[in-house]
Amino acid sequence: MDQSTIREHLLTGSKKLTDTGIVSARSLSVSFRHKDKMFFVPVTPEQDGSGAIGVMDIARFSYDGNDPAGFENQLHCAIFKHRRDLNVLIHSDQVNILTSCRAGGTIPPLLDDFAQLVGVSVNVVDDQSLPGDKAISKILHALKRRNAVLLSNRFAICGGKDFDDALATAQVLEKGCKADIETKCLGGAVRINKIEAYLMRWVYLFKYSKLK
Amino acid sequence: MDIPGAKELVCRSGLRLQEQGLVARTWGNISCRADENRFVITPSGITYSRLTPDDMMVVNIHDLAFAGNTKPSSESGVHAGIYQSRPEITAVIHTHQAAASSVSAGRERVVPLKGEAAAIIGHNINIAGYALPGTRKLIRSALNALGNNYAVLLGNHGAICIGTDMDHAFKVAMTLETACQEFVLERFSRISGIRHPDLTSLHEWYLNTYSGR
Repeated sequence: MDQSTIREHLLTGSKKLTDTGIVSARSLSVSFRHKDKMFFVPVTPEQDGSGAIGVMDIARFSYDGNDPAGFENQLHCAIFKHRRDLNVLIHSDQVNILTSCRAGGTIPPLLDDFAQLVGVSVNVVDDQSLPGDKAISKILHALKRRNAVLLSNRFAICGGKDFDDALATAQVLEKGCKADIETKCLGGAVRINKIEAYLMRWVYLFKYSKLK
Repeated sequence: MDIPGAKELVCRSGLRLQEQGLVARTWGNISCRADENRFVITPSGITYSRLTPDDMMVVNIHDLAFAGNTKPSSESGVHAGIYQSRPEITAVIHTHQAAASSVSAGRERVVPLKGEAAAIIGHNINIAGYALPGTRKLIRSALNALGNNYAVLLGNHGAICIGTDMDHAFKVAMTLETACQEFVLERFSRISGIRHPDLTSLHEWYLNTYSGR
């Protein structure tokens, strides 16, 4: 893919996210892996005017506290480095996700598409008091074997093998957070058995994610 | 309906399912009755936006036999069971719609409906016990819970909405979504004492009660 194709791909994906309400334009943060480089939108396209694409070299990524790319881009780079299965990372600030970020804790598996696509649970990470490298380490740990993580009081990071996958992860995560919140009014939630949740996750990863 | 017409309808309706936010990606499935022995259903594991009418699968209602290398939806058994037990039904939609999914994950096992929603769907919507997708247990559980209603909630999963035609099935799905959200707010009002509940007040209550868990 040449740079202009990558720019087009990134901006088309970003527009899909804002059009579907997955993320508001002011909170847009998207990154995309191509070969061993990470491409990201450094500011919103409207502000920048040129739709400029930032580039970081994933292989040489290191955090020293003075990197001008900013914590979020460093975090994305670290995720790409540790997770070869994820090629797109997006932030989502949908309403149920935001409430869950503020409440803290862990989102349990209440819906089977959540267990399949997102993971057997999703963690809310309180990283704000930590220095950058420790925060990144904590977030990476919380993301293990999952496609999403919630950052306390901020937003969710959702990952996928492509834009459609990342978008679906965000949609299903929002629905899972909604179920976690609303079942509190319905006498509590009935959780999916942990073994069945792992089984569904495994079947999804090794069977359905390979289909077109 | 002839087979090409049924394939066209199911393909078009699959996109509608996605556009109306009733499913994401490849989840959910949709079918219509072609004749007394066959129905047409979406194939397994292909995103709706990539489907063409030729991709739709023709399945035997009585023994689930199908032709070709692609597999029909893994929930074909539920669709077939409905077509066998409800001869007036010509369309079945399986959705993962948000509010219905929330209710399906709760401990309330029956959702009472009133007014127009009751007239469209039925008076009491049952939540079928949880079963792994594609299993016989799910088929039995869903059919038992459906009864004579036009919708059933599948525990921890989503909903099945049926109709005498496809538009009817979609109307059932959208009505069910509204009814489920109203049900949640009604239950919230009971436990919180808030007389005019909305989702904003529900979230505020949730944060005040459950933050820092």
